[in-house]
Amino acid sequence: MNRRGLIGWCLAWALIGLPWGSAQADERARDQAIALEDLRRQVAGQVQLSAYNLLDELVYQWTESPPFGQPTPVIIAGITAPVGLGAGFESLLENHLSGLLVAHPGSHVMLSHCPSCTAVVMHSGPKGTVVSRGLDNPEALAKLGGPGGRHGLYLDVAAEGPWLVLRARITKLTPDLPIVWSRTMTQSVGTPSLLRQQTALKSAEAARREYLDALNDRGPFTVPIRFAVRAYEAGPTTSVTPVPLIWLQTGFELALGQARAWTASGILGYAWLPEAYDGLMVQSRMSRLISGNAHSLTGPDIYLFLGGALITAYGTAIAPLQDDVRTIEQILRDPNDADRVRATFGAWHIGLEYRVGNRIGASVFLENMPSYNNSDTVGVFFENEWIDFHSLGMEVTFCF
Amino acid sequence: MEFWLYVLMMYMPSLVESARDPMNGYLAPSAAIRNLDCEPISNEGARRLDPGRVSAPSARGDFLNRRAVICRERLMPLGVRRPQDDALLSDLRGWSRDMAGAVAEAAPNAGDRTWLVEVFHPDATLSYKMGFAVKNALMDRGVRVSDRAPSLAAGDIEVLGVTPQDKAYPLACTRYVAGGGLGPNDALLAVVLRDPRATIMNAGVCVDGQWRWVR
Repeated sequence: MNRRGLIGWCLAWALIGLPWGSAQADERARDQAIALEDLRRQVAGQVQLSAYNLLDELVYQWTESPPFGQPTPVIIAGITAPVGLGAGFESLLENHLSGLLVAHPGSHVMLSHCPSCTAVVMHSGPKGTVVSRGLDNPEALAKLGGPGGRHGLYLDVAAEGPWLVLRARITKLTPDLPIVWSRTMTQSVGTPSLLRQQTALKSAEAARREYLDALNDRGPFTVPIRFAVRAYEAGPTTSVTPVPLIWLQTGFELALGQARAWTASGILGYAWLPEAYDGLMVQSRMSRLISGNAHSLTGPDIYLFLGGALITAYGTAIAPLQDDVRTIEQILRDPNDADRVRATFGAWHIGLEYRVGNRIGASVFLENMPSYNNSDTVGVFFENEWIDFHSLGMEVTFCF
Repeated sequence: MEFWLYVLMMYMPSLVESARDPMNGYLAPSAAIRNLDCEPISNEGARRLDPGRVSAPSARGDFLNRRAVICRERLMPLGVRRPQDDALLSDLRGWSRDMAGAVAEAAPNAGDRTWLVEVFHPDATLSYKMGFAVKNALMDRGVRVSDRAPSLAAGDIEVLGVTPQDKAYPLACTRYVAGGGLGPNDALLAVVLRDPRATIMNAGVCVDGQWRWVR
């Protein structure tokens, strides 16, 4: 192929490939735009509460030290969001601010509606023709019959490095447009929002005190009511599985610190199954929080616990748990004397509890009963070389 | 061999510390590091902020040279805004405060005048934000500030449009006063982007018809 042919061949391929390459570039640009929009949405979600927090603080400061001596009509002249976030964010801020101002008349900032203030007006005079918003041209506003002596509130939220900054200023809508009040407030990105209630703003100190009160709301003592089941395994020489014992337990639980990292409990329990068994137990337990350093107000907690129990049970169904097995003759001679079928034993247990909001919990545990270590009638769960777990238990707890 | 083991043992602690230092960026991915805003902080300040992580020095001295750095994640990750806008906005609070201080000190009788602020930047959104910040910074210094924008006649604007930059601002200042846009008790602070590639804003003041660059 000569040089001219080669050039022609290359040009033909380039022309064929051009639309395909262009389409790919368009697709990449579209993907990038979608990713950027997604990122902006994430940032807006992250800073929204911080921006609300700053607005809460602004209105709280106004309630403590009003910018005006008496209730004064104020127009929301402009709210701007951080560069990069859209108009939706501005609307959220405006709605939140409006809610706050309506709920706090003590701020003396009275929201006022003024359509001609935000509309574009054209004013021709001896100096020329001026096109502007009504707010920026009070002379034109006055001729339109606009508000006299009102004020405009300007808010700007800016993202400056790791800081969210709220700037506010109030301008008197007279020809000189003097700024009568201004404030700049900042919040670091890592600072948690105080989530103050919109209708009753409090200072940061008061909000923190409330937060701590919420942490300590129930005091160190809790009364648990617990439903527990202890299941047993059949022993090596028998196929009769001991009947599971169903317990209703209550007592007290004591948190050893405000973080509820350690708790101790003392419980009394009663078991009853008609025509089968009755039982009583006393149990104590120490629990250690393992899912964090302090119990969570919003999420579940996991505790590891270790405890001991003394159990006595009697009734015909308890026979497999008895140390001295009754003979057939004894049973036939006195079949209704259920009291004589009694088992009393000690046990210690280890387990995990999953608790939500310190109000409801579910736990599972394994229990060792030393007096049954070489028992023929009671077997073991999870056979191993070190320890025999004779019982597997599950509990559901409601705390009051 | 023993010698090199000895050297390794001597320097290993400081090497490990250096690797963990986010300012060095040896271990963390560079994108994550670039989105952090780090600044050195005193040991006392660090201990107050995070008492669990920064321990108090021993009363007998702990023979260590401690250095604390506080890092915060940027609200706007890099790439969301134009790099030049980001450079201007990242320290808006700092430079607007400095600018207000420079103006209040440089201008004669600054406290007795009403200040008007104009921002000359091609992006209207940025201009608005910068003007807002500078006005608030001036108010924080106890200076009277107005939201009024000084106006020029159409002919003035036409002439200024073809005048070189170094002459345009002094000329505009003269025309503001002559046309009544600036009164005898008014002063204008102009925040100007002199070079489209610049990431800092300059400031000039117009007082009594006299133009002066202050930053």
